[in-house]
Amino acid sequence: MSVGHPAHRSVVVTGIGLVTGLGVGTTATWQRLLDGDSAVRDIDAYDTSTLSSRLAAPVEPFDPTRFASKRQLRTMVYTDRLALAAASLAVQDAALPQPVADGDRAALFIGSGKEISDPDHLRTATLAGRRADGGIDIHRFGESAMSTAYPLFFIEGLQGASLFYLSQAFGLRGTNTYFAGTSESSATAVACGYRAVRRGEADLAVVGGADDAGAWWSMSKLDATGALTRRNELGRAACRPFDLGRTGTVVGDGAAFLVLEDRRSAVRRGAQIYAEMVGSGSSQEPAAGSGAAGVTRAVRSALRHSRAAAGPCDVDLVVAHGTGTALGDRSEADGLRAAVGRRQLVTSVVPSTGHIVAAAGALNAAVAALAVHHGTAPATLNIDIPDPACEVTVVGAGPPPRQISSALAIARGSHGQTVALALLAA
Amino acid sequence: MGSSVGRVELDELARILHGMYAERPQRLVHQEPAGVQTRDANRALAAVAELAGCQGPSLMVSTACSASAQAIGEAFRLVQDGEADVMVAGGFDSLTTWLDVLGFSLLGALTTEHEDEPQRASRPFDADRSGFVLGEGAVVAVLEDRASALARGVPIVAEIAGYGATMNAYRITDAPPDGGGCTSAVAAALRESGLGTGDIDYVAAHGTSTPGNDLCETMALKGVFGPDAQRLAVSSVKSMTGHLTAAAGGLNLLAAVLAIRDSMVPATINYERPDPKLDLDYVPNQARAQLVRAALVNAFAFGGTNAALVVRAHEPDLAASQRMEVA
Repeated sequence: MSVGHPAHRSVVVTGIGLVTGLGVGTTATWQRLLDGDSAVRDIDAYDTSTLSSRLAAPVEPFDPTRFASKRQLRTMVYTDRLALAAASLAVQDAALPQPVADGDRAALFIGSGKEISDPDHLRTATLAGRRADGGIDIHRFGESAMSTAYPLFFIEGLQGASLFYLSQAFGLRGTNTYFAGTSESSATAVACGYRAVRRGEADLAVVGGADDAGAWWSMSKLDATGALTRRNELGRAACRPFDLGRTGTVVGDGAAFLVLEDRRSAVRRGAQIYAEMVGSGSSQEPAAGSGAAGVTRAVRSALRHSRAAAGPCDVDLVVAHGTGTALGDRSEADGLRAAVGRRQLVTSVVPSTGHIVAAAGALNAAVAALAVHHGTAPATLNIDIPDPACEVTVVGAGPPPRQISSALAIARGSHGQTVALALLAA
Repeated sequence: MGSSVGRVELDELARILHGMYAERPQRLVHQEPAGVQTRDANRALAAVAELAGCQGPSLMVSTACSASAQAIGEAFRLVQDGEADVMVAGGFDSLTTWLDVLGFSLLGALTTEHEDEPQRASRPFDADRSGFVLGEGAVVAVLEDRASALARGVPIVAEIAGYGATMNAYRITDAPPDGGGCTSAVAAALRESGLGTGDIDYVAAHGTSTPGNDLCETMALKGVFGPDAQRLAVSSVKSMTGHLTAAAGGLNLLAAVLAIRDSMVPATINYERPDPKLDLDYVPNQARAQLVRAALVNAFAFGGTNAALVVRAHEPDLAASQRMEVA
C-alpha cells in the first residue's frame, strides 16, 4: 500500500511490556493496579535530607542480564536497562521471534527523559578539577579526565542509545526515532509507530518509553519545580489525583512498551490482540494558557481519527495524565469536559506507579489497551473527596465502571504539549 | 525539532558531586534551576512554537547526528497524514561544552590534525581525513501542504518527495563498512519519491570526515545508485561549517534545497588527496554551477540511526494535492 493511501490499515496491540514499581512484568503491574496497590515509598537509595519531596516509586532490583548482554550493559545507563527490559517483555508477550522475521519492516519509536551518562563516571576528574573556590581548573580536569573518565561516557550518555540496544536485541531495522522530553515523548512514540503501521511504512512497531525519575540526578532537578508533593508523611497516600486535598505528584521509575502490528499480519501469525489503536492527536498550547485548550484539541483530533476508523463511539474511559498537581488535574478535567461534552470517566495510575515522567504516556497507552482487553479499569487511589472543580468522574470514587470497550490515553508535557491516543476492544 | 538535551556545565557538575561525595556530611545537591531550564531542549521547542503560533503536533527528536533529518522526516509524515498543514521543522545544537569535547575526544571521533590551520581540519572524503570538527548552529525550514502553500500564494522553493529512516543494529559508534542501514535509508527515500537513480543530481552528504563514515556513505551511495553513482555530485558542507551534530541534517536540507533553487552545488573543501576507495565526484574545493533537478539529503548518527530525504524541484503543473513543499 502506498504512502498516503486513504484506505489505512488496521493497527492492533499484540504485546505489552511493563516494568514499574509494582513489578517487573505486565501481569504483575496490572494485577496490583486492579488490587489497588501502590509502589510509592520513602526513597532509600540516597540521602534525601536536602529534598522537600522524599517519596518515589522505585522498581525493585532485577537482574539486568535477563534482558541485556554483558557487552551491552557496559554502556547502558539505568533508563536504557529499563527500556530494554520492558521492550523485551513486550516482544515476548507478542510471541515474536527474536530477531523479528522482517527487520526492515519493523519500526522502533522511543520516548525518554535520559539526559546524561552516569555522573559517577566523571566524578574523579570533576573533583580533581574543582578549585577551592568552586570553579573548575580546566587543565587539571582535562589531565585527570583523559586517564580517569570512563572512555565510553559519551556513548553511555547518548540520549537515543536505547534505539541501538533495542534494534540490536530484536533485529529492528526499519523506520525509527527517539523523542526527548516528559510524558508527551513516549506517547508521541506510540503515535508515530501507530501511524507508520497504519500507512504501511512498517508491519510492526515496537513503541514505548522509559525514565528513572526517582533517581538522584532527576530528583535533584524535579524537587525544585514545585510539581512534587511535600506531604512526605502521607507516604503512599501523598499523591491524590483529582482529590480536593491534592498537593503535587510523586515520581516513579519504570518503562512501558507496546508491540503494534498490522491486523492482517497479526491474525495471520495467530497473535493475541489486546486492542485496536484507532486514533492519535497532539497539540501545543501557548504558555499563557492553562493547557485545557490543548487537551481539548488533542482529544478531538484523536476522536476524529477514531470515528473515521471505527464509526461513532463513546469514550468509556480516559486513562488520564492525572499527576495530582492542583493546576494540572483541573486543566485536564476542563479540557476533557470541553472535548467530550460531558462528565468523563477517568482514572489515573500515578498514585500506584508514581509519575514515570517520560514513560507515563506509553504506560497510559498500555493501561488503556489492558482496560479495553479486560473490560475493566483500575481505580484511582487516594480519592477521598473528589474536587468539585474537576468535572470528571473518577474510577474509585463511585460505583465500579460498566464494561470498558473504548479508552483514551492522555499524556501531557511540561511545555504545553498534549498527546491523546484512542483504543478500542479488538 | 531535532536537538540534543543540553549537557550540564562542568562547574555545576563539580558543585553537585562535591556535595555528594567530598563534603561531610554528604548530601544531595539541587541542580541550579536556571541551568535546568537552559538544558531543556523542549523549552526551545516551546519558544519556537510560541513565536510561530504553532498549536499542532510538536516533536523533540534527540537522535544525535540524525536528529534534525528525522525531525524533518516526521514533520513530512505529519503533513502527509493530514495531521498538520504546516510544520516548522529543523534542528539546533551546540555540543561544544568541555564535556562534549572530552566525550568525542575519548572516542577518537575528533580530528587532532591541522591545529595551526583549523580551517583545513575538516576534510570529508579526502585520503588524509582523520575525524570531524565540531560546529554549532540551527537550521529551520517551513514545510507546507502544497495546496495550502498555493492558496497562500507564497513562493515554493522545493518539494520533499521521500523520507527513509533505518537502524544499522551493527555497532554503537561504528558505521558499517558495507553501507549497512545507510543503504536502506537512501533506498527507502528514493523509492518513496518515485524517482529513479538517474533523476538525482546532487547528494548533500553526511560526510563527517571520519574514516569510517565517509567510506560507509560512499558504499551506500554506490549500493543504491549502481553505475549512476558516478554521475552524482556528492559534497559535504561540514568541510566548511564543521559538524552541526543534531542540526546537521537540517543544514544538509538547506544545501539541497538551495542547490536546486540556484542551480549551484556547494563544494567539499580541503579535498586534496583522493582516497582510492572513495571514487565518487565529491565536488572538490569549488562550488559548481549545474542544474539540480532532485537531491538527496543524508544524516547518519552514533547509535546506528540513519535518515535520508529526497528533495525535488517544484513543478507547478503537478496536480497531486498532498505534496509537500518547502515554502
